[in-house]
Amino acid sequence: MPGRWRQRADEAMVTLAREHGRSLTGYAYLLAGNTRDAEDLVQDALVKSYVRARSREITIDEGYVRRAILTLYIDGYRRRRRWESLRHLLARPERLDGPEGPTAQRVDVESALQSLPPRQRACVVLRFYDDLTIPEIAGRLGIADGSVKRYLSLGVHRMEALLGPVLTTATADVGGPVETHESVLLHGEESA
Amino acid sequence: MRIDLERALEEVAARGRAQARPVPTDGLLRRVHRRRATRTVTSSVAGVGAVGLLAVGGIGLLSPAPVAPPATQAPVAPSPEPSASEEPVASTEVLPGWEPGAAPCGVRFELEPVDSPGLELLGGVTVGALAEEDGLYRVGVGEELLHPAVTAYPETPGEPGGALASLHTYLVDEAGTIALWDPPTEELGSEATNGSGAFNIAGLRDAVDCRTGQPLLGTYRAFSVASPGTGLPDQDEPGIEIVELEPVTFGADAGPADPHRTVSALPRCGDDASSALEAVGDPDFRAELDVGLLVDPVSVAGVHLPVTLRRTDTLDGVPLTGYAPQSVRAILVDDEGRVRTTMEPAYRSAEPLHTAPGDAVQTSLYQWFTCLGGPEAAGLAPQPGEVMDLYVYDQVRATAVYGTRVTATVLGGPYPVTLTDW
Repeated sequence: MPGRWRQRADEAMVTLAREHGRSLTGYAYLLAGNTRDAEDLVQDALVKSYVRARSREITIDEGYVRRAILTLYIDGYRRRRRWESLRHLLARPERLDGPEGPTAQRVDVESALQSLPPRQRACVVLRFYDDLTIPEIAGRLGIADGSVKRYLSLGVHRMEALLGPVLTTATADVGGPVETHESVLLHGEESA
Repeated sequence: MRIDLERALEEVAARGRAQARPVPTDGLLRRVHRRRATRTVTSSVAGVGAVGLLAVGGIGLLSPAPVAPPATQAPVAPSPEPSASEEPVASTEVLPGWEPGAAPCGVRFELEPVDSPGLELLGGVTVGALAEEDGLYRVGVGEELLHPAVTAYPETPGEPGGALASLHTYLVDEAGTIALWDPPTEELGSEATNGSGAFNIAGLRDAVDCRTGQPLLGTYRAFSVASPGTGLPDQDEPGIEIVELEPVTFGADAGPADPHRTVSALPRCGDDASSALEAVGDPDFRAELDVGLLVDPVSVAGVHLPVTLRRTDTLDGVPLTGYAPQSVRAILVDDEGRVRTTMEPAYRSAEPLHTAPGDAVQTSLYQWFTCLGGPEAAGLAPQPGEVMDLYVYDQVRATAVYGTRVTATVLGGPYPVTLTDW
């Protein structure tokens, strides 16, 4: 019964939104770079995910919505919001101070992440936050493994140019190392 | 020091989680239902008939023709900004138990814009919902409610305004028929307490078609009418002001358009002006007061002057489209380089904007010289006798021809001004 499916889908969406809304927004924040756009991304992704539940029963979990967030971000959201991410170059940034000031490092990482083009940023997030392998990232984004490696390499290099040497615990056996990085230390020497 | 990237990304995400507000599930459900409904909606002849029976003639707003039914196709008021998905189709079926509104609901809107010599209507209609966490109205988080945020000001700041007894905002569908308005019995008018004479209607309204009770869908033209009389407005009424506002879009992932967001990116009273001006650099629109350097002196209350915005060759010279601003704003800068004015939300008009480098847009500068804010604004309200620099300073939402939404910068001046008594 389509009506029953829709009702169940509605209930599932409300439950997912309440239980995982903050987590999804945190994930979207990595991509969008600010809370406002992250919340919009989450809402758009939830609508996109559940509007299709009109004619069949589907199972949607947090991972499904995360993928929808990523797809929205890559396919168009980022492009529509491009200017807002560049606005700070022309005008004062919006004053959206949180209840407590972020650490300088976190702000630096945020700024560096926001400086990356969308695909590079997506690759960095998928690799170092979602802990996906190179083939998994390629599958998720619909691009070749080599492209993922290139985006990752460019993205990490760009972040290092802004932040200094970057340390990760990503290992080489999860689908191949990031190009030019063969150890846990991407650049520089072992940390003290 | 090296940065642990994975840990740093987790901290960034944690910050996003900490700042996240609860997902507005009611609004999401409404959006989901609307998107599903776009594929299943059907016309209802019975519903149309029920609405038609309520046609009442005899007032200036009305057409002698029978009341038009709700549009059966998506409203197609021109929207120069791209939509993320197809325009939804509004349902014409009257909801069970819904009592269609009385005239002018369902009546053709036939008033034409007219400028009153004593009033200036500024504002627009925002769409939003009440946030779950605090019950406050927020723009762009849902589509259950709309806010006719239109204020009637005196034509010139500081001068007596024209007579005003009623202020109404109307949403008009593709067929030219009123789909929503604010009946006098539901108005919650308020007049500003600062002596400005500003008057607005503070009420929120359910975003439903007054004829059917169905959620508003698609794009509607919006009109505001300020009248010295209390009856339904008449085109020929002396002192009446009628303006067409930026069209309002529901559904189709129209996205939020919150004028307050733009304000938060503009300088505030007490800010360092040099950094604000330097940040603009080469503006996308160069503003020129049509009165040239003869603007001096000006009232300490504020200014209302004609201004020309000329598109520069920034943004790679791509043409910008959208809606022209109703008016642009300005800042006063004192000898110490401090901004001495507060900028209020600005709205767009229904006038299409399409500008390539060199093109000019005629609009007006409308700015009250207030200074509101925190401790940094204390004691900085402009005073009569002060000499300051006036800069036309604003941002205009637009769309580049390749589809990217941009916030174009507007800058003009400085114009030295001497402030006189209100």
